[in-house]
Amino acid sequence: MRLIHEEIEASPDDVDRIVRRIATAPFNQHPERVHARLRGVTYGSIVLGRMAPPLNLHLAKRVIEEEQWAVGTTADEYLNDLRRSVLHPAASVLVYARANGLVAATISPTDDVVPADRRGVNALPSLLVIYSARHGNVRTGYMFSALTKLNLPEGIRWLR
Amino acid sequence: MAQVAPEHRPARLVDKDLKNLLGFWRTVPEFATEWPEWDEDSRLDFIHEWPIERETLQRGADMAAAGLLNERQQCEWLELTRLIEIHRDTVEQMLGEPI
Repeated sequence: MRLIHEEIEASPDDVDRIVRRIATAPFNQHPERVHARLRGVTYGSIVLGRMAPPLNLHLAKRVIEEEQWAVGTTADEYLNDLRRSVLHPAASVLVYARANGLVAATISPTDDVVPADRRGVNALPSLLVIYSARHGNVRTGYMFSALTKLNLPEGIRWLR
Repeated sequence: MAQVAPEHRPARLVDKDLKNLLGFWRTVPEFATEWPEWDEDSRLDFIHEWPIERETLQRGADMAAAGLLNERQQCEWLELTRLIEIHRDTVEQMLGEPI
């Protein structure tokens, strides 16, 4: 939190600790609302209703709606891809505040962290993983083509 | 939105982008009605994931500007732009930032 609000310097050890924290954090487990257009979507044993476990919701979105990951990708594989992405030695590490939430995130090259047979037809060059500092869990992970698409908020701090 | 020359994109994927975008924008009134019931976590995830919608929209805009949509896709794109015009303020209020 101080990294964002007080703009103190983050040492390499600080950054390593943040990375390890993200890489070992659970995916959010608090059931989430499902947007109306996704209700009824099925993927394997997953059937999206009005609420869903976030990992199921995000996996179904990534595979069925967005086709960033290939059909057949399991929840464990998706989560492992995100964790591999966080631990990538060249991963960018950033912190920012958005909508009253403090966030740490990493950005890595997709091709280095998601095996070719797990990339979907809409796979994009970079992989973003978002971690909630307040909740201590991973909120989401998805691919994008360029930083300009993320519309990151002002006040973002790049730690690496 | 900045226009760039789009890469070749198979018709199926363009159709899918349009389906996803229309699936969202056609249901904005229903979504807005539900929004007050959405808990903070669910709202925050909607905000965190919005760049995916934005990038899909940008792809569609690039394809439309380059004249690469077929007749049916052009009709759907036109419907989409009208829906965005109607519902932009509502979505931006939910996001707390421009779409």
